[in-house]
Amino acid sequence: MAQHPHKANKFWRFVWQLLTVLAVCTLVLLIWLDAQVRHRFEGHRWTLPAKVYARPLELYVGKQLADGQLAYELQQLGYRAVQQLHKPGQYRLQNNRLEIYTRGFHFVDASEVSNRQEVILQAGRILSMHDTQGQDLHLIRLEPQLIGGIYPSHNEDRELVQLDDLPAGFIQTLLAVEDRTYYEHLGISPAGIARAMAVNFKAGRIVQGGSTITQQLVKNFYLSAEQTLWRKLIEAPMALLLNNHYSKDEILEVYLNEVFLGQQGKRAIHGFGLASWYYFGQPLNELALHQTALLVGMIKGPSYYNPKRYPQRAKQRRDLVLKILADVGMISDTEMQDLQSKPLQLTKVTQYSRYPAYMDLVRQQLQQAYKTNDLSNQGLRVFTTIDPWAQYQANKAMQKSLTSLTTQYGDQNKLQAALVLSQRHNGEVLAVVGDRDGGYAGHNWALDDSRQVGSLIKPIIHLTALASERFHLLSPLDDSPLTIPQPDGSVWQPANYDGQSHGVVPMYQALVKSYNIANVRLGMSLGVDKVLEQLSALGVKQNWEPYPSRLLGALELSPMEVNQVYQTMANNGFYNPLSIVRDVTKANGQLLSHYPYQVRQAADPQATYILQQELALIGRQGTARGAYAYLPTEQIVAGKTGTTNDQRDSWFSGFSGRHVATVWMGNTDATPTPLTGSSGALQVWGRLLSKLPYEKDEVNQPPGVDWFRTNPTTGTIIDADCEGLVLPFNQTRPPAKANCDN
Amino acid sequence: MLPTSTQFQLFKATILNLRQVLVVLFFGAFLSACASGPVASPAVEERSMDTYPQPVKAGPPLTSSPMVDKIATPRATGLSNLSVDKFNSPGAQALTPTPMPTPRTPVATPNLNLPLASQEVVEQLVLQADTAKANNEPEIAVIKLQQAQRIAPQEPKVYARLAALYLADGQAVRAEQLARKGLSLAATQPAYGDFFWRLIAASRRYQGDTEGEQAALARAAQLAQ
Repeated sequence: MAQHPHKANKFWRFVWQLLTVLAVCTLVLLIWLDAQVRHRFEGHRWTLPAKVYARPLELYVGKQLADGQLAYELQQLGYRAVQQLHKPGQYRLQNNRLEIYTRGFHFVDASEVSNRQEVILQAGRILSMHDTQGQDLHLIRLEPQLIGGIYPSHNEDRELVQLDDLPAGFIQTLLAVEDRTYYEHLGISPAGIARAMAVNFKAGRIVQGGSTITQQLVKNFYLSAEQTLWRKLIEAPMALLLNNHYSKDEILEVYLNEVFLGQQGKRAIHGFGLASWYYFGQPLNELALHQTALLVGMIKGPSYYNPKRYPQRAKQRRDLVLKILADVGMISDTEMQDLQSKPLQLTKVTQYSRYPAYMDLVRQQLQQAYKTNDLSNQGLRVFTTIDPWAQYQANKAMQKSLTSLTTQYGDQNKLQAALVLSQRHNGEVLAVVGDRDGGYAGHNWALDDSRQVGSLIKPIIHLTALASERFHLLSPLDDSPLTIPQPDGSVWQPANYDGQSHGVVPMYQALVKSYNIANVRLGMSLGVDKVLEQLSALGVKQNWEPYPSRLLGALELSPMEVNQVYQTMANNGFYNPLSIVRDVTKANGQLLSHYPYQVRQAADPQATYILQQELALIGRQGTARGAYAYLPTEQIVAGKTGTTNDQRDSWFSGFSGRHVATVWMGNTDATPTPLTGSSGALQVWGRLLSKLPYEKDEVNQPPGVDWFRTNPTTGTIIDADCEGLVLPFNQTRPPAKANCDN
Repeated sequence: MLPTSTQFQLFKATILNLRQVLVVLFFGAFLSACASGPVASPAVEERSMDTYPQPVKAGPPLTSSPMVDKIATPRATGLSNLSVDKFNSPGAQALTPTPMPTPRTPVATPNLNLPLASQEVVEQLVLQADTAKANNEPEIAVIKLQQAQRIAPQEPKVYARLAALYLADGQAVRAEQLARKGLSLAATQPAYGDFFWRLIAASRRYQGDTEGEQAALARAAQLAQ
């Protein structure tokens, strides 16, 4: 029976309507895709984490460098040791002569241009510096080392590059491997797809893809990683749209910065700029062809061909890329063989996550002024005060000391440790070790934990006494047994570490020998509240009740806080808040914040100066003399050891040259340790200071202080030709004068 | 109502764009199915859609208002080279007597010259700071002076320049503290002593402390005698 014409018409009308609806939907979809393509490409393409930099190494005539420091810092910056300098990023260090081809850097205040320079050293000190024309140079500022980043939640990181930044042969290598007809196709390559289909058909499985670079970019930039039908459906049209809107070079540049090339913990390495630093420790434009070949080869599978984990596999892939280059005539067979014979030359320097404790501080300071989003999204550049050499040596000193303590006392698995190092004259924090392992990003014992400070409080008692106009270094103090009644009816009887009392002792000796009873008596005569006031003025503000036991350090401070207090004492009584950040700029270098030098007079300059001499006597004669096992005798050690009850905490805080450092050691559960301040913390301190450049840079003597030869036994000033100890006194209240023997 | 010419142009452009889109769709629908193989594909991370960045808020302010030199910094020709070596007796030798001058008079302490080094580079940096200040770039001037301070922390000239900069900027408390620091380093240099006390006087005047100002001026006068 023939179909009813009305029904047929109805069917075709339905098909037509369906097609119309489909066409409209497709049209809407394409308009939407087009908008997506343009919005993302023309808008804010990436969220860039803040880059955190170390302090730049500044070289100038007269600067003292530690043994090995220069080579270390250059290696950390990715400079290559060569016999002859050809390009930026190279150096030659022989005997006392450094030839360097600097890279240049855009600092906040000026741009350092890339240049060849020569530095002559003598006994670790810079003797002269000049450029290739023989012109004397006053200052060479190397680029600062990148030490970390503050990441958005997706943890993507990248170092943006432009096409101009690429090394010779890079584009050719990339296109030869990934997309040979890139500059000819419309965003997709039918020929490439046909070729891939043929290969896949032959293999019976999917072994090759026909993606162009444009398609790869669409996939990475716009779409999710899921292999869904929807994603596949829209990938090609989006590639065509992208190709239609933008130039080939624009697309290529975005691809170079978007491509994923590895993972370091949570941090995703994107783009060739960052991958070059991550794998080779060099900027991209300094890479040789075999290094470029490795990076390009890794696109196929960044995890599978990760050269750090699978060097053999990565080398095979690199060599295959080099063979492709030979096949397309980019290099000769001989060149190919030569390049294939080269090792991978991966960097041993880990750029990130090496200084977790220091980065804690950086975040802490920045979060006072910046929103978290701004820090993780805007590509800010944060210039900090960290000294990579000092930090390296701090970690090393800690490790060596802990190993040595384990040998001496057996396994101390509960023992923790922390260290803070700062610049004596401005309070810049140079290094922080937050736990015994140094690189562990967990509990930060330098910042987050407070412990009783023990005898570290005694210098504050002496400072209060010296400023009070009632005491000088020879004032007699009674060290005989002492009983102090408590408000609850009990009594407190402080005792000396050796269990003995020492009768009447001159004030300086009570500190040098760390006599508890004499110092408590001194503190009580001044008033506990006055001592605590002085402590607060030095840089830590807490509401401590004025109990007598405070005078033996029954108050808790973190290593960072202790360092702040000693920093002020080392700086002639001038308080500089410990600082971590110097400048913050936008990604384009525009200054956002400068953290200025801050200073406040917190203690009497004469009293502080005299106290410094007492602290130096502790190094010469007292509980800190063990530091000279590491340091030359001409170096100053001025500081104080601290050991709390039952040896629960081992402290040393002190200064030498231009450095102030505080070390703490103790068990995580505050149980007794086998360590005193001298046998524990001081060992780390001595080891560290022995590796830092020493500038004999004591603070000028303030007006109003005179030095006299003295007889400590009688507490009098004696003739200069008598035998005795030379000590400083405030001009207004020197001790009585006497003859040599009286 | 007829469309205007501009509306018509827009309409035309849209239609042209849609035509391109339709062509693209035709090819795209076919090719997308075999676009790529999974083995060679680069890894892709999930990401949220971008949000446009908010302007970054500035950190601790350093005012950029024009600075006026209210006090001339002393024209000291050289750098301070007077640093006293007090800690030079190692170990037990500290107690050993050394030849001393006249009995019962203060013991002279030796001078320690700062490395010449620092002198040249610090002079350069101070000059650069002066230039920056003249160019109305006070932040850069401060950065240069802080750089100089790191190299030669004992140099009063650096503190003098910094203090003057801050005072001119109205930061009188900070200026006074810097002057005090400078003063502590210039014990043997009356020119600086005079300068710092006058700067302290000016800072106190700015803070409304007339008595303190007079006291500071008296100290300056004392040094001038």
